[in-house]
Amino acid sequence: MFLLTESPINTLELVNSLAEASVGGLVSFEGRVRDHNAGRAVEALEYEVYPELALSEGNVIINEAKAKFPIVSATAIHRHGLLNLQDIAISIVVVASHRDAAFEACRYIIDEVKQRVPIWKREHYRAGSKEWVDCPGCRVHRRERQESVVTT
Amino acid sequence: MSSPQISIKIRYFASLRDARGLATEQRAIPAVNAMDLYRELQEAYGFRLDPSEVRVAINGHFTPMETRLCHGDELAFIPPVSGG
Repeated sequence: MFLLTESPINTLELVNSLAEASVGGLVSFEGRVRDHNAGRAVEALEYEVYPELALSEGNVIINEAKAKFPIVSATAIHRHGLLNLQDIAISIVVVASHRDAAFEACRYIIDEVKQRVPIWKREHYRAGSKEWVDCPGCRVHRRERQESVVTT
Repeated sequence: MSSPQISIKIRYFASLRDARGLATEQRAIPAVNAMDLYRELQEAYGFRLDPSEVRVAINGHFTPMETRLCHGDELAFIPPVSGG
C-alpha cells in the first residue's frame, strides 16, 4: 500500500501494523530531512504532491515489488507540506519470510519512488532563498553519483 | 482554416505552478497534442524546462507527449520528480 500524509510519520506504528506470524525478516527505511544538499545549508524542505497520480503510481510500484520479490507485504508512506530537519519524509516497511527479499524489495521501492512518483521538493536554504529540486540535471547528477560510488 | 477550439483543464505543480502563477486553469486551445501545448505555454510563461524534460499526465495517467488532446481533458505537465 502507498499512502500520503501531511502529519508526522510514525514508523513504529507502521512496523507493528505489518508484523505477523509468517514474517521472518522486516526491513524499514526512513528518508529524513538533512541539513545540507550539494554544498548548501538546508533548514527545511517543502514537498508538493499530485495526490491522485502519486497514489496510483506509488501503488503500481508496491505491486511491482510484490511481483518481483517473495515478500509478504510492503507499505510506503510519504509526507508532504513543510518538513523540518530530521522529519521523516518517507517511511517504507517491507516484511517477508526471509531477509534477502525484504532488503531487495525495500531498495526497489525507494529507488522507483524517487524516479517516478509525482512529488517535488523545494529546499529552503539557511541563507534565505528557496529552490525547487527539479532541475533537468538532478536525475543525471544522481545517476552519475551512483555510478561513481559503484566504480570507486 | 483554423483548428477547432477545445476546452481543457490544466493543473500546474512545483516550478511550473510558480512560473504560471496558478495551480489550475480552464483553457481554450486548438486541438493540438500535449507537446505543442507545452511549447505554447513555455513561450507564454517562460517555463525553463525543455519539453524533453517533462512528462504529461492526461486524466490521471502518464501518457506520451504526442497524444492529441480532447475536449474536457484534465492535463498536468510533470517536471522531473524529487520525492523521497
